[in-house]
Amino acid sequence: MAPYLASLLLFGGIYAMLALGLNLQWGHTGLVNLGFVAFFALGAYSAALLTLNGVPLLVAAVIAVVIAGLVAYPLGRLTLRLQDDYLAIVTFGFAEVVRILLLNTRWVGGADGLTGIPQLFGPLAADVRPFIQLGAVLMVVALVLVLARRLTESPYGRVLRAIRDSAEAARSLGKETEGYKVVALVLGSALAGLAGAIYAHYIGYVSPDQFDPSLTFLIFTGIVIGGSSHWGAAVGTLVFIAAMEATRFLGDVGLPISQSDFAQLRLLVIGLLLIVLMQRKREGLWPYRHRERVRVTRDAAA
Amino acid sequence: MLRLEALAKSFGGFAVVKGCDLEVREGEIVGLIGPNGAGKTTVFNLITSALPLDAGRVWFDDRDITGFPTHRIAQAGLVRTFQVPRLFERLSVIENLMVAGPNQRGERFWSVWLRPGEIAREEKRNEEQAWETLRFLGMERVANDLAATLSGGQKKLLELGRALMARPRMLLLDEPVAGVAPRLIDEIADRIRVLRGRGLTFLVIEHKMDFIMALSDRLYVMADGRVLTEGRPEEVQADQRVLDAYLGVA
Repeated sequence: MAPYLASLLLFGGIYAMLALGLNLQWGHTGLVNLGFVAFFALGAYSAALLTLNGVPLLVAAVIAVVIAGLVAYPLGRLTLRLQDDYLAIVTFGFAEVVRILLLNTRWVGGADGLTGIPQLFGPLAADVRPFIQLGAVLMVVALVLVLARRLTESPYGRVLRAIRDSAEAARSLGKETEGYKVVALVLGSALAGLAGAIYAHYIGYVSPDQFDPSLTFLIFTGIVIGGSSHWGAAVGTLVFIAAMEATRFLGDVGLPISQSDFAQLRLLVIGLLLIVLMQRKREGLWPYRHRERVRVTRDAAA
Repeated sequence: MLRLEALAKSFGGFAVVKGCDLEVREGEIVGLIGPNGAGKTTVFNLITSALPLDAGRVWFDDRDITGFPTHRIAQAGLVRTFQVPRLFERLSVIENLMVAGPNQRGERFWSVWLRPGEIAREEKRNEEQAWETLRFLGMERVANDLAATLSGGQKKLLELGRALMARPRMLLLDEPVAGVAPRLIDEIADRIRVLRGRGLTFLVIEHKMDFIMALSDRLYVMADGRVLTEGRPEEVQADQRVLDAYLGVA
Protein backbone atom coordinates (compact mmCIF):
# COMPACT_ATOMS: atom_id res chain seq x y z
CA MET A 1 0.00 0.00 0.00
CA ALA A 2 2.67 2.52 0.99
CA PRO A 3 4.68 2.21 -2.26
CA TYR A 4 1.44 2.57 -4.19
CA LEU A 5 0.65 5.76 -2.30
CA ALA A 6 4.17 7.04 -2.86
CA SER A 7 3.77 6.42 -6.57
CA LEU A 8 0.46 8.28 -6.65
CA LEU A 9 2.01 11.24 -4.87
CA LEU A 10 4.96 11.21 -7.22
CA PHE A 11 2.70 11.38 -10.25
CA GLY A 12 0.90 14.18 -8.42
CA GLY A 13 4.20 16.03 -8.21
CA ILE A 14 4.78 15.65 -11.94
CA TYR A 15 1.31 16.94 -12.77
CA ALA A 16 1.75 19.80 -10.31
CA MET A 17 4.92 20.81 -12.10
CA LEU A 18 3.13 20.73 -15.45
CA ALA A 19 0.39 22.88 -13.97
CA LEU A 20 2.92 25.41 -12.67
CA GLY A 21 4.49 25.65 -16.11
CA LEU A 22 1.23 26.17 -17.96
CA ASN A 23 -0.01 28.54 -15.28
CA LEU A 24 3.03 30.74 -15.82
CA GLN A 25 2.21 30.88 -19.53
CA TRP A 26 -1.54 31.05 -19.44
CA GLY A 27 -2.64 32.05 -15.94
CA HIS A 28 -0.12 34.86 -15.58
CA THR A 29 0.85 35.90 -19.11
CA GLY A 30 -2.28 34.90 -21.03
CA LEU A 31 -0.42 32.75 -23.56
CA VAL A 32 -2.58 29.98 -24.96
CA ASN A 33 -0.13 27.14 -25.55
CA LEU A 34 -2.29 24.34 -26.90
CA GLY A 35 0.77 22.20 -27.53
CA PHE A 36 1.98 22.11 -23.95
CA VAL A 37 2.11 18.31 -23.91
CA ALA A 38 4.74 18.36 -26.68
CA PHE A 39 7.25 20.01 -24.34
CA PHE A 40 6.51 17.35 -21.74
CA ALA A 41 7.19 14.73 -24.43
CA LEU A 42 10.37 16.47 -25.59
CA GLY A 43 11.69 16.50 -22.04
CA ALA A 44 10.85 12.83 -21.52
CA TYR A 45 12.28 11.63 -24.83
CA SER A 46 15.42 13.79 -24.55
CA ALA A 47 16.18 12.48 -21.07
CA ALA A 48 15.45 8.91 -22.15
CA LEU A 49 17.61 9.01 -25.27
CA LEU A 50 20.50 10.69 -23.51
CA THR A 51 20.63 8.26 -20.58
CA LEU A 52 20.16 5.25 -22.86
CA ASN A 53 23.27 6.49 -24.66
CA GLY A 54 25.33 6.68 -21.53
CA VAL A 55 24.83 10.28 -20.40
CA PRO A 56 24.55 10.52 -16.60
CA LEU A 57 20.97 10.92 -15.43
CA LEU A 58 21.32 14.35 -13.84
CA VAL A 59 23.14 15.80 -16.84
CA ALA A 60 20.52 14.30 -19.13
CA ALA A 61 17.72 15.89 -17.11
CA VAL A 62 19.34 19.31 -17.31
CA ILE A 63 19.82 18.97 -21.07
CA ALA A 64 16.20 17.83 -21.44
CA VAL A 65 15.01 20.97 -19.67
CA VAL A 66 17.20 23.15 -21.87
CA ILE A 67 15.97 21.43 -25.04
CA ALA A 68 12.30 21.89 -24.13
CA GLY A 69 12.95 25.57 -23.40
CA LEU A 70 15.02 26.15 -26.52
CA VAL A 71 12.41 24.62 -28.80
CA ALA A 72 9.81 27.00 -27.38
CA TYR A 73 11.98 30.02 -28.23
CA PRO A 74 11.58 30.10 -32.03
CA LEU A 75 7.87 29.26 -31.74
CA GLY A 76 7.46 32.29 -29.51
CA ARG A 77 9.58 34.59 -31.66
CA LEU A 78 7.62 33.61 -34.75
CA THR A 79 4.12 33.95 -33.35
CA LEU A 80 4.09 36.30 -30.38
CA ARG A 81 4.27 39.47 -32.42
CA LEU A 82 1.10 38.40 -34.18
CA GLN A 83 -2.35 38.20 -32.63
CA ASP A 84 -2.79 35.92 -29.65
CA ASP A 85 -4.60 33.24 -31.65
CA TYR A 86 -1.54 32.44 -33.71
CA LEU A 87 0.35 31.05 -30.77
CA ALA A 88 -2.56 28.72 -30.05
CA ILE A 89 -2.72 27.51 -33.65
CA VAL A 90 1.02 27.09 -34.10
CA THR A 91 1.59 25.30 -30.78
CA PHE A 92 -1.33 22.97 -31.42
CA GLY A 93 0.10 22.09 -34.81
CA PHE A 94 3.57 21.77 -33.34
CA ALA A 95 2.36 19.23 -30.78
CA GLU A 96 0.81 17.12 -33.53
CA VAL A 97 4.03 17.26 -35.54
CA VAL A 98 6.02 16.13 -32.52
CA ARG A 99 3.60 13.31 -31.77
CA ILE A 100 3.56 12.02 -35.34
CA LEU A 101 7.34 12.30 -35.63
CA LEU A 102 7.78 10.28 -32.45
CA LEU A 103 5.32 7.73 -33.74
CA ASN A 104 7.14 7.28 -37.03
CA THR A 105 10.82 7.68 -36.24
CA ARG A 106 12.64 4.43 -35.76
CA TRP A 107 15.54 5.64 -33.63
CA VAL A 108 13.15 6.96 -30.98
CA GLY A 109 11.29 3.67 -30.95
CA GLY A 110 8.27 4.53 -33.09
CA ALA A 111 4.97 3.36 -31.66
CA ASP A 112 6.76 1.06 -29.21
CA GLY A 113 8.66 3.92 -27.64
CA LEU A 114 11.79 3.48 -25.58
CA THR A 115 12.21 1.05 -22.71
CA GLY A 116 14.83 0.34 -20.10
CA ILE A 117 15.34 3.98 -19.17
CA PRO A 118 17.46 4.14 -16.00
CA GLN A 119 15.47 4.71 -12.82
CA LEU A 120 15.93 7.66 -10.53
CA PHE A 121 18.12 6.37 -7.68
CA GLY A 122 18.31 3.06 -9.52
CA PRO A 123 21.16 1.69 -7.40
CA LEU A 124 19.08 1.91 -4.22
CA ALA A 125 17.25 -1.14 -2.87
CA ALA A 126 13.76 -1.56 -4.30
CA ASP A 127 12.00 -1.26 -0.93
CA VAL A 128 13.32 2.20 -0.04
CA ARG A 129 13.66 3.55 -3.56
CA PRO A 130 10.05 4.78 -4.06
CA PHE A 131 10.22 6.91 -0.93
CA ILE A 132 13.57 8.45 -1.77
CA GLN A 133 12.28 9.15 -5.28
CA LEU A 134 9.17 10.74 -3.88
CA GLY A 135 11.15 12.88 -1.46
CA ALA A 136 13.43 14.09 -4.22
CA VAL A 137 10.59 14.89 -6.60
CA LEU A 138 8.60 16.72 -3.96
CA MET A 139 11.67 18.76 -3.12
CA VAL A 140 12.09 19.72 -6.76
CA VAL A 141 8.40 20.67 -6.94
CA ALA A 142 8.74 22.78 -3.79
CA LEU A 143 11.80 24.51 -5.25
CA VAL A 144 9.96 25.23 -8.50
CA LEU A 145 7.03 26.59 -6.51
CA VAL A 146 9.30 28.93 -4.54
CA LEU A 147 11.05 30.17 -7.67
CA ALA A 148 7.79 30.65 -9.56
CA ARG A 149 6.41 32.67 -6.66
CA ARG A 150 9.52 34.78 -6.50
CA LEU A 151 9.14 35.60 -10.17
CA THR A 152 5.42 36.28 -10.21
CA GLU A 153 5.48 38.35 -7.01
CA SER A 154 8.18 40.61 -8.41
CA PRO A 155 7.57 43.64 -10.63
CA TYR A 156 8.44 41.25 -13.45
CA GLY A 157 5.38 39.13 -12.69
CA ARG A 158 3.24 42.24 -12.51
CA VAL A 159 4.24 43.09 -16.08
CA LEU A 160 3.32 39.55 -17.15
CA ARG A 161 -0.19 39.94 -15.72
CA ALA A 162 -0.49 43.40 -17.27
CA ILE A 163 0.35 41.87 -20.65
CA ARG A 164 -2.25 39.17 -20.04
CA ASP A 165 -4.92 41.82 -19.44
CA SER A 166 -3.92 44.17 -22.26
CA ALA A 167 -0.71 43.81 -24.22
CA GLU A 168 -1.53 46.98 -26.13
CA ALA A 169 -1.84 49.05 -22.97
CA ALA A 170 1.40 47.55 -21.64
CA ARG A 171 3.20 48.53 -24.83
CA SER A 172 1.75 52.02 -24.64
CA LEU A 173 3.31 52.36 -21.18
CA GLY A 174 6.75 51.48 -22.47
CA LYS A 175 6.90 47.72 -21.83
CA GLU A 176 8.61 45.58 -24.44
CA THR A 177 5.86 42.97 -24.34
CA GLU A 178 7.25 40.50 -26.85
CA GLY A 179 10.34 39.78 -24.81
CA TYR A 180 8.30 39.11 -21.68
CA LYS A 181 6.00 36.74 -23.55
CA VAL A 182 8.90 34.79 -25.00
CA VAL A 183 10.48 34.41 -21.57
CA ALA A 184 7.20 33.15 -20.09
CA LEU A 185 6.78 30.70 -22.95
CA VAL A 186 10.34 29.39 -22.63
CA LEU A 187 10.22 29.07 -18.83
CA GLY A 188 6.86 27.29 -18.82
CA SER A 189 8.00 24.92 -21.54
CA ALA A 190 11.25 24.23 -19.71
CA LEU A 191 9.18 23.27 -16.67
CA ALA A 192 7.20 20.86 -18.83
CA GLY A 193 10.54 19.46 -19.98
CA LEU A 194 11.63 18.97 -16.38
CA ALA A 195 8.37 17.18 -15.61
CA GLY A 196 8.98 15.01 -18.66
CA ALA A 197 12.51 14.07 -17.60
CA ILE A 198 11.31 13.07 -14.13
CA TYR A 199 8.45 11.11 -15.66
CA ALA A 200 10.74 9.17 -18.01
CA HIS A 201 13.17 8.30 -15.25
CA TYR A 202 10.38 7.25 -12.96
CA ILE A 203 8.30 4.92 -15.06
CA GLY A 204 11.24 3.76 -17.14
CA TYR A 205 9.68 3.78 -20.60
CA VAL A 206 8.24 6.37 -22.95
CA SER A 207 5.90 5.95 -25.90
CA PRO A 208 3.87 8.39 -28.03
CA ASP A 209 0.52 7.40 -26.52
CA GLN A 210 1.61 8.69 -23.12
CA PHE A 211 1.65 12.19 -24.56
CA ASP A 212 -1.85 12.44 -25.88
CA PRO A 213 -3.03 15.99 -26.79
CA SER A 214 -5.83 15.62 -24.25
CA LEU A 215 -3.28 16.00 -21.45
CA THR A 216 -2.85 19.66 -22.40
CA PHE A 217 -6.56 20.21 -21.98
CA LEU A 218 -6.68 18.34 -18.69
CA ILE A 219 -4.16 20.80 -17.31
CA PHE A 220 -5.99 23.81 -18.75
CA THR A 221 -9.14 22.55 -17.07
CA GLY A 222 -7.25 22.00 -13.84
CA ILE A 223 -6.07 25.61 -13.84
CA VAL A 224 -9.58 26.85 -14.61
CA ILE A 225 -10.85 24.89 -11.61
CA GLY A 226 -8.02 25.81 -9.28
CA GLY A 227 -7.39 29.41 -10.27
CA SER A 228 -4.17 31.09 -11.30
CA SER A 229 -2.44 31.19 -7.93
CA HIS A 230 0.37 28.65 -8.01
CA TRP A 231 -1.28 26.51 -5.37
CA GLY A 232 -4.63 26.83 -7.09
CA ALA A 233 -3.24 25.72 -10.44
CA ALA A 234 -1.37 22.77 -8.95
CA VAL A 235 -4.12 21.61 -6.61
CA GLY A 236 -6.85 22.17 -9.19
CA THR A 237 -4.98 20.03 -11.70
CA LEU A 238 -4.35 17.29 -9.15
CA VAL A 239 -7.96 17.25 -8.01
CA PHE A 240 -9.23 17.15 -11.55
CA ILE A 241 -6.92 14.39 -12.72
CA ALA A 242 -7.60 12.41 -9.55
CA ALA A 243 -11.33 12.78 -10.15
CA MET A 244 -10.92 11.59 -13.74
CA GLU A 245 -8.95 8.57 -12.56
CA ALA A 246 -11.20 7.77 -9.63
CA THR A 247 -14.44 7.89 -11.60
CA ARG A 248 -12.86 5.44 -14.02
CA PHE A 249 -13.33 2.75 -11.36
CA LEU A 250 -16.91 3.71 -10.55
CA GLY A 251 -17.93 1.72 -13.62
CA ASP A 252 -16.61 -1.42 -11.93
CA VAL A 253 -18.73 -1.17 -8.81
CA GLY A 254 -21.87 -2.48 -10.43
CA LEU A 255 -23.57 0.53 -11.96
CA PRO A 256 -26.16 -0.75 -14.43
CA ILE A 257 -24.55 0.93 -17.48
CA SER A 258 -21.94 -0.17 -19.93
CA GLN A 259 -18.31 0.87 -19.66
CA SER A 260 -18.44 3.12 -22.73
CA ASP A 261 -21.69 4.80 -21.70
CA PHE A 262 -20.08 5.50 -18.42
CA ALA A 263 -17.02 7.13 -20.00
CA GLN A 264 -19.28 9.55 -21.83
CA LEU A 265 -21.48 10.15 -18.84
CA ARG A 266 -18.40 11.04 -16.85
CA LEU A 267 -17.48 13.83 -19.29
CA LEU A 268 -21.05 15.07 -19.14
CA VAL A 269 -20.95 15.25 -15.36
CA ILE A 270 -17.59 17.01 -15.40
CA GLY A 271 -18.91 19.51 -17.92
CA LEU A 272 -21.89 20.26 -15.71
CA LEU A 273 -19.71 20.67 -12.64
CA LEU A 274 -17.47 23.06 -14.56
CA ILE A 275 -20.45 25.19 -15.58
CA VAL A 276 -21.64 25.42 -12.00
CA LEU A 277 -18.15 26.29 -10.82
CA MET A 278 -17.74 29.00 -13.43
CA GLN A 279 -21.04 30.55 -12.41
CA ARG A 280 -20.17 30.56 -8.74
CA LYS A 281 -16.43 31.18 -8.83
CA ARG A 282 -15.28 32.51 -12.13
CA GLU A 283 -11.68 32.96 -11.06
CA GLY A 284 -11.42 29.36 -9.84
CA LEU A 285 -11.31 27.95 -6.33
CA TRP A 286 -8.02 29.57 -5.34
CA PRO A 287 -7.69 32.68 -7.48
CA TYR A 288 -4.59 34.81 -7.59
CA ARG A 289 -4.74 37.40 -4.84
CA HIS A 290 -3.05 40.77 -5.04
CA ARG A 291 -1.16 42.00 -2.08
CA GLU A 292 -3.30 44.42 -0.09
CA ARG A 293 -1.39 47.66 0.04
CA VAL A 294 -1.86 50.03 2.92
CA ARG A 295 -0.43 53.50 2.86
CA VAL A 296 2.17 54.08 5.53
CA THR A 297 2.83 57.80 5.81
CA ARG A 298 2.67 60.75 8.12
CA ASP A 299 -1.08 61.19 7.58
CA ALA A 300 -1.59 57.61 8.72
CA ALA A 301 0.16 58.50 11.96
CA ALA A 302 -1.79 61.70 12.43
CA MET B 1 7.26 69.53 -29.11
CA LEU B 2 5.19 67.19 -31.31
CA ARG B 3 5.09 67.76 -35.04
CA LEU B 4 3.22 65.68 -37.59
CA GLU B 5 4.06 66.02 -41.26
CA ALA B 6 1.63 64.73 -43.87
CA LEU B 7 0.60 61.59 -42.00
CA ALA B 8 -1.35 59.23 -44.23
CA LYS B 9 -3.02 55.90 -43.74
CA SER B 10 -5.45 53.85 -45.75
CA PHE B 11 -7.14 50.57 -44.99
CA GLY B 12 -7.45 48.41 -48.08
CA GLY B 13 -7.60 51.33 -50.48
CA PHE B 14 -9.83 53.45 -48.27
CA ALA B 15 -7.94 56.54 -47.15
CA VAL B 16 -8.72 57.28 -43.52
CA VAL B 17 -6.02 59.86 -42.93
CA LYS B 18 -5.06 61.85 -46.02
CA GLY B 19 -2.19 64.04 -44.99
CA CYS B 20 -2.41 65.37 -41.47
CA ASP B 21 -0.09 68.22 -40.42
CA LEU B 22 -0.19 69.31 -36.84
CA GLU B 23 2.08 70.90 -34.26
CA VAL B 24 1.90 71.06 -30.49
CA ARG B 25 4.30 73.33 -28.60
CA GLU B 26 5.72 72.60 -25.19
CA GLY B 27 3.29 73.37 -22.37
CA GLU B 28 0.26 73.71 -24.65
CA ILE B 29 -3.10 72.02 -24.37
CA VAL B 30 -4.23 71.40 -27.93
CA GLY B 31 -7.63 69.98 -28.83
CA LEU B 32 -8.27 67.68 -31.75
CA ILE B 33 -11.92 67.64 -32.78
CA GLY B 34 -13.98 66.63 -35.74
CA PRO B 35 -16.98 64.53 -36.65
CA ASN B 36 -16.96 60.76 -36.18
CA GLY B 37 -14.79 59.02 -38.74
CA ALA B 38 -12.61 62.06 -39.31
CA GLY B 39 -9.53 59.99 -38.47
CA LYS B 40 -8.62 61.45 -35.06
CA THR B 41 -8.02 58.18 -33.24
CA THR B 42 -6.19 56.83 -36.27
CA VAL B 43 -3.82 59.78 -35.97
CA PHE B 44 -3.08 58.75 -32.37
CA ASN B 45 -2.53 55.19 -33.53
CA LEU B 46 -0.11 56.42 -36.18
CA ILE B 47 1.82 58.63 -33.76
CA THR B 48 2.33 55.74 -31.33
CA SER B 49 2.93 53.09 -34.01
CA ALA B 50 -0.11 51.13 -32.88
CA LEU B 51 -0.68 51.11 -36.66
CA PRO B 52 2.04 51.34 -39.29
CA LEU B 53 1.74 54.55 -41.31
CA ASP B 54 1.75 54.72 -45.09
CA ALA B 55 3.46 58.10 -45.36
CA GLY B 56 4.50 61.10 -43.32
CA ARG B 57 6.82 61.81 -40.41
CA VAL B 58 6.39 62.16 -36.67
CA TRP B 59 8.74 64.44 -34.74
CA PHE B 60 8.88 64.49 -30.96
CA ASP B 61 11.34 66.84 -29.28
CA ASP B 62 13.02 67.44 -32.64
CA ARG B 63 13.65 63.73 -32.92
CA ASP B 64 12.25 61.74 -35.79
CA ILE B 65 10.30 58.95 -34.06
CA THR B 66 8.45 57.78 -37.18
CA GLY B 67 7.88 54.04 -36.98
CA PHE B 68 9.56 53.62 -33.59
CA PRO B 69 8.14 50.60 -31.75
CA THR B 70 5.26 51.59 -29.46
CA HIS B 71 7.15 50.97 -26.23
CA ARG B 72 10.10 53.10 -27.35
CA ILE B 73 7.77 56.02 -28.03
CA ALA B 74 6.33 55.74 -24.53
CA GLN B 75 9.84 55.53 -23.10
CA ALA B 76 10.70 58.72 -24.96
CA GLY B 77 8.00 60.46 -22.91
CA LEU B 78 5.00 60.42 -25.25
CA VAL B 79 2.19 58.42 -23.63
CA ARG B 80 -1.37 57.87 -24.79
CA THR B 81 -4.70 56.83 -23.28
CA PHE B 82 -7.49 54.99 -25.07
CA GLN B 83 -11.01 55.95 -26.08
CA VAL B 84 -12.34 52.84 -24.34
CA PRO B 85 -10.04 52.47 -21.32
CA ARG B 86 -7.67 49.53 -21.59
CA LEU B 87 -6.98 48.90 -17.98
CA PHE B 88 -5.32 45.83 -16.53
CA GLU B 89 -8.72 44.65 -15.38
CA ARG B 90 -7.61 41.80 -13.15
CA LEU B 91 -4.99 43.89 -11.40
CA SER B 92 -5.86 46.07 -8.43
CA VAL B 93 -6.10 49.81 -8.96
CA ILE B 94 -2.78 50.51 -7.28
CA GLU B 95 -1.05 47.71 -9.19
CA ASN B 96 -2.33 49.29 -12.41
CA LEU B 97 -0.41 52.38 -11.40
CA MET B 98 2.69 50.61 -10.12
CA VAL B 99 3.14 48.59 -13.28
CA ALA B 100 3.40 51.83 -15.24
CA GLY B 101 6.45 53.14 -13.39
CA PRO B 102 9.16 53.64 -16.01
CA ASN B 103 12.44 51.79 -16.23
CA GLN B 104 11.98 49.52 -13.21
CA ARG B 105 14.90 47.29 -12.32
CA GLY B 106 12.49 44.68 -10.96
CA GLU B 107 11.08 44.26 -14.44
CA ARG B 108 14.36 42.84 -15.71
CA PHE B 109 14.56 39.10 -15.47
CA TRP B 110 18.00 38.70 -13.94
CA SER B 111 17.58 41.54 -11.49
CA VAL B 112 14.67 39.66 -9.91
CA TRP B 113 17.12 37.00 -8.77
CA LEU B 114 20.30 39.02 -8.32
CA ARG B 115 19.23 42.32 -6.79
CA PRO B 116 16.32 41.72 -4.41
CA GLY B 117 17.31 44.47 -1.98
CA GLU B 118 17.52 47.13 -4.61
CA ILE B 119 14.18 46.03 -6.05
CA ALA B 120 12.49 46.19 -2.66
CA ARG B 121 13.67 49.79 -2.20
CA GLU B 122 12.57 50.68 -5.71
CA GLU B 123 9.14 49.13 -5.08
CA LYS B 124 8.74 51.23 -1.97
CA ARG B 125 9.39 54.43 -3.91
CA ASN B 126 7.14 53.20 -6.68
CA GLU B 127 4.30 52.46 -4.26
CA GLU B 128 4.70 55.87 -2.64
CA GLN B 129 4.45 57.45 -6.08
CA ALA B 130 1.32 55.40 -6.78
CA TRP B 131 -0.33 56.57 -3.56
CA GLU B 132 0.56 60.13 -4.47
CA THR B 133 -1.12 59.67 -7.85
CA LEU B 134 -4.19 58.09 -6.23
CA ARG B 135 -4.49 61.09 -3.94
CA PHE B 136 -4.18 63.42 -6.92
CA LEU B 137 -7.05 61.54 -8.55
CA GLY B 138 -9.06 61.23 -5.33
CA MET B 139 -9.07 57.43 -5.63
CA GLU B 140 -7.24 56.34 -2.49
CA ARG B 141 -10.26 54.49 -1.18
CA VAL B 142 -10.42 52.07 -4.11
CA ALA B 143 -6.67 51.36 -4.18
CA ASN B 144 -7.06 47.65 -3.58
CA ASP B 145 -10.16 47.07 -5.71
CA LEU B 146 -9.82 45.25 -9.00
CA ALA B 147 -9.77 47.71 -11.89
CA ALA B 148 -12.64 45.78 -13.50
CA THR B 149 -14.98 46.88 -10.70
CA LEU B 150 -14.58 50.64 -11.30
CA SER B 151 -17.24 52.89 -12.81
CA GLY B 152 -16.72 54.28 -16.30
CA GLY B 153 -15.56 57.63 -15.00
CA GLN B 154 -13.17 56.10 -12.51
CA LYS B 155 -11.71 53.97 -15.26
CA LYS B 156 -10.98 57.10 -17.28
CA LEU B 157 -9.34 58.68 -14.25
CA LEU B 158 -7.28 55.59 -13.54
CA GLU B 159 -6.09 55.46 -17.11
CA LEU B 160 -5.00 59.07 -16.84
CA GLY B 161 -3.20 58.26 -13.59
CA ARG B 162 -1.54 55.23 -15.11
CA ALA B 163 -0.26 57.33 -18.00
CA LEU B 164 1.10 59.84 -15.46
CA MET B 165 2.93 57.10 -13.60
CA ALA B 166 4.94 56.50 -16.77
CA ARG B 167 6.39 60.02 -16.23
CA PRO B 168 5.48 61.36 -19.64
CA ARG B 169 6.45 64.78 -20.99
CA MET B 170 3.44 64.80 -23.25
CA LEU B 171 0.08 63.04 -23.09
CA LEU B 172 -2.22 62.03 -25.92
CA LEU B 173 -5.71 61.75 -24.42
CA ASP B 174 -8.40 60.04 -26.49
CA GLU B 175 -11.79 61.30 -25.28
CA PRO B 176 -10.89 61.68 -21.62
CA VAL B 177 -14.45 62.57 -20.57
CA ALA B 178 -16.58 60.41 -22.87
CA GLY B 179 -19.18 58.67 -20.73
CA VAL B 180 -18.02 60.42 -17.58
CA ALA B 181 -20.45 61.85 -15.03
CA PRO B 182 -20.70 65.71 -15.19
CA ARG B 183 -19.19 66.22 -11.75
CA LEU B 184 -16.18 64.14 -12.70
CA ILE B 185 -15.77 66.03 -15.98
CA ASP B 186 -14.89 69.25 -14.17
CA GLU B 187 -12.58 67.23 -11.98
CA ILE B 188 -10.73 65.84 -14.98
CA ALA B 189 -10.46 69.27 -16.65
CA ASP B 190 -9.08 70.64 -13.42
CA ARG B 191 -6.50 67.82 -13.13
CA ILE B 192 -5.35 68.41 -16.69
CA ARG B 193 -4.82 72.13 -15.99
CA VAL B 194 -2.84 71.34 -12.84
CA LEU B 195 -0.65 68.96 -14.83
CA ARG B 196 -0.05 71.54 -17.52
CA GLY B 197 1.03 73.89 -14.75
CA ARG B 198 3.64 71.27 -13.86
CA GLY B 199 5.02 71.38 -17.40
CA LEU B 200 3.10 68.64 -19.21
CA THR B 201 1.95 69.07 -22.79
CA PHE B 202 -1.38 67.74 -24.06
CA LEU B 203 -3.06 66.73 -27.28
CA VAL B 204 -6.69 65.90 -26.53
CA ILE B 205 -9.36 64.29 -28.70
CA GLU B 206 -12.84 65.09 -27.41
CA HIS B 207 -16.40 65.40 -28.62
CA LYS B 208 -17.70 67.20 -25.57
CA MET B 209 -17.56 70.74 -26.96
CA ASP B 210 -17.88 72.89 -23.84
CA PHE B 211 -15.17 70.80 -22.19
CA ILE B 212 -12.66 70.96 -25.02
CA MET B 213 -13.34 74.62 -25.85
CA ALA B 214 -12.77 75.67 -22.25
CA LEU B 215 -9.67 73.53 -21.89
CA SER B 216 -7.72 74.06 -25.10
CA ASP B 217 -5.29 76.84 -25.97
CA ARG B 218 -5.67 75.92 -29.62
CA LEU B 219 -7.70 73.40 -31.60
CA TYR B 220 -7.27 71.43 -34.76
CA VAL B 221 -10.42 70.43 -36.59
CA MET B 222 -10.27 67.27 -38.67
CA ALA B 223 -12.80 66.15 -41.23
CA ASP B 224 -12.59 63.34 -43.70
CA GLY B 225 -8.96 62.52 -42.97
CA ARG B 226 -7.62 66.05 -43.27
CA VAL B 227 -6.98 69.01 -41.02
CA LEU B 228 -9.75 71.43 -41.90
CA THR B 229 -8.62 74.34 -39.82
CA GLU B 230 -6.64 75.35 -36.76
CA GLY B 231 -7.02 78.18 -34.29
CA ARG B 232 -8.03 79.41 -30.88
CA PRO B 233 -11.36 78.11 -29.59
CA GLU B 234 -13.33 81.26 -30.45
CA GLU B 235 -11.86 81.31 -33.96
CA VAL B 236 -12.73 77.70 -34.57
CA GLN B 237 -16.24 78.12 -33.23
CA ALA B 238 -16.84 81.02 -35.59
CA ASP B 239 -15.57 79.11 -38.63
CA GLN B 240 -18.36 78.26 -41.04
CA ARG B 241 -16.40 75.29 -42.48
CA VAL B 242 -16.31 73.65 -39.07
CA LEU B 243 -20.04 73.93 -38.71
CA ASP B 244 -20.49 72.52 -42.19
CA ALA B 245 -18.22 69.57 -41.40
CA TYR B 246 -20.22 68.72 -38.30
CA LEU B 247 -23.52 69.15 -40.05
CA GLY B 248 -22.35 67.02 -42.96
CA VAL B 249 -22.49 69.72 -45.62
CA ALA B 250 -20.00 68.84 -48.32
